[in-house]
Amino acid sequence: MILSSRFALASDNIVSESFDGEFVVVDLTFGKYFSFSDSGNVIWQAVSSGLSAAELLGVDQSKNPLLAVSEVEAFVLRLLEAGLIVERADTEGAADGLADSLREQLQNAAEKPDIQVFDDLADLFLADPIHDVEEPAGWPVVRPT
Amino acid sequence: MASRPADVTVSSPTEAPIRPETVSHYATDVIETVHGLRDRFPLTCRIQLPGLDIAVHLQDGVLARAINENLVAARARESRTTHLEIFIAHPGIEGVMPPAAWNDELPYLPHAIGMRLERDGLRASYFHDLDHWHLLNMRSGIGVELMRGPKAYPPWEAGAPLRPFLHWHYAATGRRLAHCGTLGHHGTGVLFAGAGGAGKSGTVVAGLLNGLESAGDDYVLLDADDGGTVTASPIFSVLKQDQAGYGRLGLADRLPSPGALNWQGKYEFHISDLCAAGPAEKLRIKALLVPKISHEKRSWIEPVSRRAAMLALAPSAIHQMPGERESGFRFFSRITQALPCHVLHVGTEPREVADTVAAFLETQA
Repeated sequence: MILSSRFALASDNIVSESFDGEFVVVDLTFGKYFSFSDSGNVIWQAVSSGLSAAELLGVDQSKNPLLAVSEVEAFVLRLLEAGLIVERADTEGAADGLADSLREQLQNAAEKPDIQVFDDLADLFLADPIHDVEEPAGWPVVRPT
Repeated sequence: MASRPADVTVSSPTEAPIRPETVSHYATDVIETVHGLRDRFPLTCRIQLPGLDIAVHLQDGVLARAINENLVAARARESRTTHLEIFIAHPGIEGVMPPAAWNDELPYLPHAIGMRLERDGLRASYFHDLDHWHLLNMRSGIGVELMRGPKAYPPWEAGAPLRPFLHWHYAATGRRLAHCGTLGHHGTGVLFAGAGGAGKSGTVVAGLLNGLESAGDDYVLLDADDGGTVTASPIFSVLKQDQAGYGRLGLADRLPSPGALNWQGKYEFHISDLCAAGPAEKLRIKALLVPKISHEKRSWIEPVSRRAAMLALAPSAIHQMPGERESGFRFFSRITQALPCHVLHVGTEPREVADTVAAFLETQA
């Protein structure tokens, strides 16, 4: 079910940039940074562009066992859980050309879909009234309770 | 902006703690009131920075000295220069209200609050422990740093005075105050990005001690034009080293009386203490280096992915500054995409570190 869904960025506070095909995504509200494995980058580009993950799965999995449906599904679920994407009600997708191009990249991926979360700074954004200055951050951070 | 008459005395603009819905009103009220008390501030410091003239009204003391000593005056006035008028205010100045507290029952979410303020042409940051506010009206260019008393400011304030105001101003003009170090030679330089403890400051000091120049450590002003040219200009002159670094870098021979340790347990000194010419006027940045302490005798430099460089640059560069997060993310993305990115594995010998950076600069010229 999740594979056939279409998604959009969860809000204006989720911003993403590509660096030579590798994405860095930040949740501006909570200060979490995200990056992906090579196949994760392709899937991120697809789902954040309005494609469904199913549209990428014309990949010949016998040639690339890293891309098991269960792995792709688990990856998309992690994107949802991280609050980076939300399901769209409409069903309009991205252009077919984009799917073809991404499918080819996915076929050549060397890593299974994975997401890295960098949230060391997350507490800075939730600087509630109980916080302290901590070296080396040098900025108010939440004091452990 | 309409000003209140100077004889208006206000004990507090709002009795109730500040909430997201009232923060714009509070900021406007404080700025308007304090601006009306202009004649009651005994001292005015004026400083010319790149594209910006600032007049700061305050009382004499540590912050006044910090503004005079720690900011780097621009050597030439840019053709398009704007003006900020800042008041460093506290209730010891007649008529100034005590700072209001944030409503403890509501989380202080800087990004959400920043977005709300931006819609009203305002900027604000708040330090809870001291009810310390920075407030700026972007339309009028008038700002207030409001605190409980003359010394009731966060410990980092003196090292980089006026930082939030400068950050807001430069972000609005497409430049960026960035948490980076720099080293250069003959006007060409590299940018060092990374979290605290990565080796940025030690590398900058090692370079300055061995003939290189710097536009600053900790914070520099970055500009990036549409053609991909990135420049760094100095804003703050302060360098910092902890006692171990001070000894390792041989600074005790150069600066035998460094004064007291600061709030981080570090000595503070100035670029001009190590480089007679003072901070570089401007460096054309040729590469972004991510320092990593290697514990090896020799240093070496190798390419790193732009993604890794962005993750070293963006978090601290964006989140040590209040507000402007999305524009910051886009700006630092542009910087990262415009520059070659490398890791500098920092060796243990200061002179060798400087030579490695100098040799790298030669290859980038």
